[in-house]
Amino acid sequence: MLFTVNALMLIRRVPAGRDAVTRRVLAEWKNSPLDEPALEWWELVDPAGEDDQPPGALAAVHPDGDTVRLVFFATPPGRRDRAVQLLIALVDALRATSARTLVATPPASGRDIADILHEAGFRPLANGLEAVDL
Amino acid sequence: MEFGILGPLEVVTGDGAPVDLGTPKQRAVLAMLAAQPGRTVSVQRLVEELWADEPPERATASLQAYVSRLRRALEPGRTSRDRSAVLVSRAPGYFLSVPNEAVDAARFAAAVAAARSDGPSEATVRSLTAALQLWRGDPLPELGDSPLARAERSRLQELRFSAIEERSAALLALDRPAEVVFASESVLAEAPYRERVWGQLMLGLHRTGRRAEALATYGRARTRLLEELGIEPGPALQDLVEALHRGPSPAEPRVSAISEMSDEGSREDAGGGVSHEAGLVGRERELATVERLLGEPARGALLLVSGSPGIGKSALLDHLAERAAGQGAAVGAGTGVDGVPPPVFLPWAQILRGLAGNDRQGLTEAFAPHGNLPAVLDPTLAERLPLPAPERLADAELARSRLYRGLVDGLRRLAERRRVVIVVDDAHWLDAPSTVLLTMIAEPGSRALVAVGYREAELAAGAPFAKTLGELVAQPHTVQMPLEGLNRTEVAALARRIAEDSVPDETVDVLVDRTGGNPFFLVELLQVLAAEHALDPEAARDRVPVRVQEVVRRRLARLPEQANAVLAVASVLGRDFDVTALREMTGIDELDLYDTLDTALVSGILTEGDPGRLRFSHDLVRETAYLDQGPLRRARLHARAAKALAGPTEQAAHLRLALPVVSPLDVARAMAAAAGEAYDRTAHDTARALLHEAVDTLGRAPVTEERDVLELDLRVRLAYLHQTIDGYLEPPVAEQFARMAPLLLRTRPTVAILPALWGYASFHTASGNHDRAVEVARSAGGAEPWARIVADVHEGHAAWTALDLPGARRLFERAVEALPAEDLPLFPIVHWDPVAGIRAPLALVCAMLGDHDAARAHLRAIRPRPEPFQRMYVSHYAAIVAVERADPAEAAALSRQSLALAERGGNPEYRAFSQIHLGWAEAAAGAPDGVARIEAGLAALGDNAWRRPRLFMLHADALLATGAAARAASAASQVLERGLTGEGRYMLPDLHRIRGDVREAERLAREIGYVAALRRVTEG
Repeated sequence: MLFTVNALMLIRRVPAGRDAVTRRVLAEWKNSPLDEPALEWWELVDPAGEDDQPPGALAAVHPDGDTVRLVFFATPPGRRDRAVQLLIALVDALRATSARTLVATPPASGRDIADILHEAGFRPLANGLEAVDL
Repeated sequence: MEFGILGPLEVVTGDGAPVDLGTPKQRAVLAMLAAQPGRTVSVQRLVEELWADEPPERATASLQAYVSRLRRALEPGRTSRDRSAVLVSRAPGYFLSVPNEAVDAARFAAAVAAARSDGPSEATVRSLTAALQLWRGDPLPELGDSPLARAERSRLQELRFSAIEERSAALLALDRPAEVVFASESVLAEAPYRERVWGQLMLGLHRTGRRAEALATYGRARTRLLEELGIEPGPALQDLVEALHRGPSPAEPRVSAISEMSDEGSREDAGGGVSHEAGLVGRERELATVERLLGEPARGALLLVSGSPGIGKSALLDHLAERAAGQGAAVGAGTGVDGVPPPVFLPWAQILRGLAGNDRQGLTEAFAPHGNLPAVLDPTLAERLPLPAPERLADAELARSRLYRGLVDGLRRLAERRRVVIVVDDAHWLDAPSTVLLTMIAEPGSRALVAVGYREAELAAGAPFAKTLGELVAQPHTVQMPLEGLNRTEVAALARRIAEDSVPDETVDVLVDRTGGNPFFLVELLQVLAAEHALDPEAARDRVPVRVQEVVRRRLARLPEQANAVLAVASVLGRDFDVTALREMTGIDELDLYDTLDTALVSGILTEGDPGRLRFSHDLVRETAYLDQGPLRRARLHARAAKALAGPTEQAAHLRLALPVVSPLDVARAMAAAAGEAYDRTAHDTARALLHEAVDTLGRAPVTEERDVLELDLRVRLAYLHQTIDGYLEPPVAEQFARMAPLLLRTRPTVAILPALWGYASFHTASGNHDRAVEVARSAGGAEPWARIVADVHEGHAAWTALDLPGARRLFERAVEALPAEDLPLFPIVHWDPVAGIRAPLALVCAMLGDHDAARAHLRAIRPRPEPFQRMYVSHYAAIVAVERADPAEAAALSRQSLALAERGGNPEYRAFSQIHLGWAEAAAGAPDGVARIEAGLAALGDNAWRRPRLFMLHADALLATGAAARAASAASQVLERGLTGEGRYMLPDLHRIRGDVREAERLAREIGYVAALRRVTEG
């Protein structure tokens, strides 16, 4: 694959000044805001965008020692491809941290989410979780 | 910090605390680096080591993550601004930057070497005993089973056995045989074929009185060697056993090591004046190596030529092939092809076809035992080689084995008959079967010269050639030849050749900078320039050849997506960029950015610059990443860059390029700020160009009051600038004020237009058009207090010009009284305080009226400013006031001050004024040189001097002061004859005084109330 404009989105921790943007897009994408404390939010963004641009995709993780739990991810409606891109980028980014494993708990009814996780490199564990080694 | 690889990897800090090295793969990375401290291990080799045959899709990114974690573990105190000093990125990979002695294996090797040179002694035994205690287990268990890992382990084990042997030798020499028996038995359990150890064991047993066991030991050794290897013990061991049979105490046998092949002379002819008429420029050292290899027909060799795309690998291999053919060698050349999957055996088909073309008869004879195997790879050879088709084999595995073995044997047979040179280019794209064949043919023992070119940075982790490269590199007959960019002299030579013309030095500098000396980039760029007949540096800066872009894109595509995304942003910041600015633009913290860009560093796309800065290896790389983003995206990124950067010049440079997505008004404001910065650096031409560009940029915005106000601001800046550079009333100044007039009249009066209004009024006052100055000031300013000040000041100037000194004083004083409590804003460009523009002329009026105390008070009331222009202006007025006071010493001091400031600021008019005042002060103090200084100042001003008759009066007065009364009178008469108008008439009393007409002088002074002049007449 050649270097293309499509590849130019980058992943980053959501900067402090963009909390309001995060809340806004979660509402627009019909996702409930999460109240869970100690979440670390990541976003896939176009660095050429304005400061208040909506992210291309969002993820929330909960770091817990060597393990990071993927709590949530969301994309604009109709942009499933972004979810895979987001998760692959997230895995790469977390590899630069001290975490060793990223785990996710796909909902029992959400086959599509499991598929997305698998496309992004997650593998099922015996306990029903999905995980990827970092 | 100490690294232990003689056993499971361990790292301890200076205070002995162990470092947590993380996962097995992380440990494997560090183990690879620690095995060769100071040497770069390529990304490709690390990937191969970590994942063997199955590298994951994002292997490079994962490797980078491991490196990142290791860096955090090894340097926990490192901040985001610090580059790693321990695990260092250096293309094409990483190296461990620690002293050799920080790694236990290196300390161990040093101890063994010292023992060998020192000979047997107690100290040697102690040293080797301590060294052997460094071993905690099998070395490098973290590494897999790659050939390189195996080789490294073998090397270390061999060293360990040598240490034990040296220690045993020392113990025997020190008559401590019992210890030798114990040590030798344990070594032989691991290494049963080491005959020296068998011998030492036999001696140890013998000297401890166990002669029978010593002889039995020989039997054990012989049995083992015979049964397992089919060989008899060597002569040294046989001599020893005979001695044991014969006598009581034989000396330790000498079991000589096999001498390594000497490379004596291998470098002797390097750089020895090899000509390179075949089209290559530079590369003397590499060409000398090629000549040396070609000059050794009896020996086979493997030449590995590596480097980035376009660096000249193919040209060098072509040169080698041509030279070889010229010397009568049979040459076959093939090239790896970029395909998914790559075509099987295509390069070898090309090679065999080439060899058949060179020596059909020889090839036929060489393959006679095997049949026409070459035709299996290249069907065209079925006709050309008169050989029977090989027998069909039903077993595919057998058939393949026969094919490989047959081809290798045939080519080796050919190489026995004549010189054979095989060239494989672009080996990074080789298919797996071709790679296997290459590896077999390149093994030591063949007399063929095999030359291979490959791009290390583009070697995909899973590429067949990547998997075998470690093995090839480790072979004793391998010569590695990494190619770097051409140096400046070579670039200049290549440029001349391509352009068929002389190329300016500046263009060569640009070429070096943009291409990094990469010959492909150079040739492509030069061809574009030559075709356009544009060899100037500007053209060289602008062009990006399409073929270069393609090569660069391919390199970028191999990086992780995150790295590409960040590089795209960085490309907007320029070839050299600040990581802090990149952090601001991307929202990613600096340490993560360094991690992300590490892959670009190790692949040679970036290099490290000053602390906190990174640099694209070539500007062409940056430009490709930049241009591939499309104009609107680039513009948006430039807008973000402007926000991220602090300096006005950088902000303006980015906002200019962001114009499609930002307001022209913002761009113009940024350019005005940049012009101010340029002015402060005395880069007047740059400042002027920026302001003109800003005015042009405003033309893109619709007409609004905001635009008018900004245009007034820009134009008055330009006017001040031209006044500084060209002169107060010069045409470029007049042009700006002429364009400002309609804007001043239609713009709502606010303090924002004060500088423009003041400048306009001052210009017209200086031009003698006082009415226009006052009219515009009063109509534009309305009832605003500051506008009334402008009007009063310029009306005061008008009164002064009309010889109404008391009236002028009154108006100036009214302006002073109307000044607001707060300071007025400084004027742009010159940073001029308008209060100085009121009080300085008021001080002069007071001095002329003889009120020197008031004059001093007004000068003191001007707030001191650091800006040179205002300091120059005020000291200039203060000097005139001192002249009026007839105080040469004070006038000299102040003139020197204003002269220095005028010279530093590049103000030619004020420089001349200051010279004249200084000359007057010197002459008044009795120094005749003062007159010459005045005359030089007048000459510098030319006709403009006549706008200030005071200057000619000072000249005549200086002549008088130096005793040249006749010349003084003549000079004064010339001025009077020329006629004086306006403010020039203030000079009449003094000119008459100088001419000796005292009565007329006194009359005139009294008439106009010029008290200071009257005093000069009456007191002089």
